[in-house]
Amino acid sequence: MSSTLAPRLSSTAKRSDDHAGRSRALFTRLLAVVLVMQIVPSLASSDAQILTLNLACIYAISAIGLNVVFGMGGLLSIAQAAIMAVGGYALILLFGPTFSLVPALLVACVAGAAVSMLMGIVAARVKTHYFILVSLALAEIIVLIATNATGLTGGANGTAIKAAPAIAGLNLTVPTDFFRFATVLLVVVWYLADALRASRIGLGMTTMTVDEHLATAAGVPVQRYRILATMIGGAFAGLAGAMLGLLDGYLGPQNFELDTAILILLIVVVAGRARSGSVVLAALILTILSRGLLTLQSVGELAYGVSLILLIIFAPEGLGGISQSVRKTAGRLWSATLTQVTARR
Amino acid sequence: MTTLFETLLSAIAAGAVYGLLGVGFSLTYKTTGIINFAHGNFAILGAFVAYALIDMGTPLVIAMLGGIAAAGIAAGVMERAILRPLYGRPLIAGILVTVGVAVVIESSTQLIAGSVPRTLPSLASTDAWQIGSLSFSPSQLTILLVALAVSVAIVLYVSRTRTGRAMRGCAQDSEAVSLLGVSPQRLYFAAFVLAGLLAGIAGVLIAPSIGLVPSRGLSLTVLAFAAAVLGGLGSLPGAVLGGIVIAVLQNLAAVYVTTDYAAAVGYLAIILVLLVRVRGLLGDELETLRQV
Amino acid sequence: MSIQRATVVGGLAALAGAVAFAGCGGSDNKTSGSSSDPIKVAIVQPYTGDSAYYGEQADQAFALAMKHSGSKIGSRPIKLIKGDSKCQPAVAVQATNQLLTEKPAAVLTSACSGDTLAIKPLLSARKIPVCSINFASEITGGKDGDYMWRAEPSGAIINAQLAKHIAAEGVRRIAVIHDTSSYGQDNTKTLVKALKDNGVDVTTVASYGFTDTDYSGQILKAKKANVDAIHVEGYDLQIGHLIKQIRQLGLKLPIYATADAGNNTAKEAGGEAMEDVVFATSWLPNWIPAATKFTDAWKKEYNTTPALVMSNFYDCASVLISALKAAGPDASSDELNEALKATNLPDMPSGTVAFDQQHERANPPVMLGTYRNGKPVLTKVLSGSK
Repeated sequence: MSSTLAPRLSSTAKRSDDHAGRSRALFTRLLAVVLVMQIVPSLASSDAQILTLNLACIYAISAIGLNVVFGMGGLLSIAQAAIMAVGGYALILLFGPTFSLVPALLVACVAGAAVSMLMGIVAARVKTHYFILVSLALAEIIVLIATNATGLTGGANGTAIKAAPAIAGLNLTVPTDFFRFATVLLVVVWYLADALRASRIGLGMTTMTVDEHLATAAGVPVQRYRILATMIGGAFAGLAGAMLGLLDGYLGPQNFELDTAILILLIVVVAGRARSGSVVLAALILTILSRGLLTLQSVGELAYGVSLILLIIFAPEGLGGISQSVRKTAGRLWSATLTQVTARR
Repeated sequence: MTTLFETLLSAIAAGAVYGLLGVGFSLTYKTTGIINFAHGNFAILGAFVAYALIDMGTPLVIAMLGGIAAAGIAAGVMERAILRPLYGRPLIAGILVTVGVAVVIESSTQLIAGSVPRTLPSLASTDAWQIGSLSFSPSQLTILLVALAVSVAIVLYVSRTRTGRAMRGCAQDSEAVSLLGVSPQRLYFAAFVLAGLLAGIAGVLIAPSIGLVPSRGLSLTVLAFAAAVLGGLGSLPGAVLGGIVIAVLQNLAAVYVTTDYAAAVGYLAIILVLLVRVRGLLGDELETLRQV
Repeated sequence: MSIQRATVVGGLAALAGAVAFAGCGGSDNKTSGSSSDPIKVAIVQPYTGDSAYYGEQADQAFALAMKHSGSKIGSRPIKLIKGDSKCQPAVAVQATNQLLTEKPAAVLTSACSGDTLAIKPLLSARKIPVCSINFASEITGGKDGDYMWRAEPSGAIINAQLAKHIAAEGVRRIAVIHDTSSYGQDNTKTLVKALKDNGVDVTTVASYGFTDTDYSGQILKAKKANVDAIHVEGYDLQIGHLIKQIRQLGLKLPIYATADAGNNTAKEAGGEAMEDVVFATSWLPNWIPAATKFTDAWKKEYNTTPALVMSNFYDCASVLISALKAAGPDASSDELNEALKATNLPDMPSGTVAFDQQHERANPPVMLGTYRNGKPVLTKVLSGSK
């Protein structure tokens, strides 16, 4: 039984033909997204909804990171939430007393990349399911340290942010301001991830996940790319964790346990091994399903589980597959209409 | 010295159950290639059904058998209703749909049973026996013996019977298996039902020590996963060994080093073992060639 | 891809959208609105997860309190809005942020200490008065403590009395086993200090995780240290199993425990092992006539024997209702806070409820219970009068 989701090699070949053009198209698309996102806050009818959207942005960033680690690096990791913890605690401990906001965010990214890189190094020897266990072990160790190093992290109690988070005139404790901040970061991460995917390195990585031996034979430096994938994925996770600290003004080890890691993994799989757009949409749907149901308690959880099962059974290639099909169908309809119109003349 | 023996004894008693969890987990993987995230939840489900039966007046052992059967049935239902539509699809879908099943089992158990935690009575007395200055309870001994006996039985089943042997190779090559005259579909079903029964047994063994809490499923699945992978995924004796090794390491660390990070010591040891012996303790050569 | 699949996914996305926006139909009411607008009281408790029973019990206690003390302030009905904290501080923060958008007048905070500590600054920034039943030390006081009121004795107060008793019993060396929850970590700090102050040597401190499946490592560490007694802390389910395993491993020495050991869940979990276990608590079902009255009322309403937490929740609910009444339907938050300060409720199941200068429970009840013939009974009242 094959265990891979085979990427469509033919389409990646087409992409590299028109690399510059594609990059420009991506850029304009994302710019449009940023502008649209400025309007959303006024559409929402309560702060509570914006808070959920903010959380969805954070999980989307982390999921895009995991998409790099898994979708491009080929490493199935359940440690993404724990790497978020590394970035999150880095920010909470350093922002205020040691660094201002932007440097603290950068440190969070670097810390996340560094810890995640450890997994990339281990992946040279340890493969697939054994690798999952290693990522699990790393995740549990990180959470244990966060819970027990009471002097440093506040222990199970968690720890509060030490300074008022503000940037570029935005007060991040206000949900709508945080939303603007979060969407900008989300779009940056989105662009970086998709640009990577479309680049030569990205092509090499994708080949690597299909067939490692073939890739090595073709000259792809497999181990180096793996480490790169874990570093980038880790940096994004560190950023997401830091943003969580800014959003809540508070972090505890419970933010980063296996439940969260599985949620992020689900987002990536529901999206399919696709571009970041699908990941963002999947993050939105799954965050709302799993969190927005705070008021419905156990019934809400049941609905979440059932939705998950249905989603996976009926959308096997995830949202990426759906969007591909939608585009194909739309394209066919469009050319059919064109033929009709021109024929009539 | 006494402390050392007691530490090891208690660890082996606990580890035998982890190993049993790992055996069921490994069996599923061996036959279908699926990592069953709901494995621990089946264990909890079995314990809950046993409790419900006891509440209705059923004698203890019958109630436990009932719970075990319920776990097996639930696993079979999952295979038929939810995994069937996913055959032929990428494996990752099958694996992640079990996460959905885990959530469904946990939340429905919570809804039905309510939030007050219950306790399952143990099979044997929990009073301590004294052998010199060593203490051990009949309950611990019973758990150890039952877990080991069941594990040995499954190992024999898989290596001696035709169906069992077919299960062994199924994940690797389902075509060859059908040449043996056994349908792969039937095997998947049998494997899941069997794994469900094993989970149910582990559940009724461990529940008297930890109580009946619906949300405990994930931690049991993690134990099962760790035991199975440490022992070499697909190796049933390996899973038993893996479970015991994890329990012994954690207990030794707790008693002689630090309780705060005892679990971390266990995990670090797992990483080291895997770095040195890539296929786990007893994994076979095929595992070393595993690709993504 | 088939139309059927697209429909299912589209349907799920729509469901997600509907759920996301459905719950937010209400507008943000101001607390002092028209004369029949409801007064919102927020309850932040674990409603799902391992400690979900706290949420259920808080709801029950508040309903009973409203039955006894009324549910209207003037012409304005009390409306309870709830947030699920899952007994996780960071989740409590998120839940509270969501509740704050509805502008509650007062809060009954989570039974989990970590949750309360996490949301304390949030609520204090909005000047919303809070009633707490938590044990942890830093619940009251500090720069965010002006609006926090603790209706029950803190862990530090209870442990001070317990440590004195333990020393008086002749214990020289003791082992402390605790969990890694915020309650556990804080309780250990205050207990160890109190024990040392009373000349008892704490030779071993061992921790266990909330979801651990086996405690033999921690127990054997204590056994190795050759102590005279063991103190265990935990939530009711874990404490019962921990005590059971202590006896299972052959330890016959005296066991002291935190209040949860008196709960029904602990009793069932520990079984025969609970015999002679001494626990320190601030309430028992029949310790004073008012407690018996409350116990009977609870049994009649909810068909179970109430435990410490339920009486505590009832105290806080009654305190909030009486303060709201005293301040009046159009009170500002500072006026409500003043009313809380002046609380004086006699005949509550825990005695007379009032607050001292530090916003702590005045005249705190502390007592010892033990198990005789499988039932928890009162053995000694250490402080607090009728």
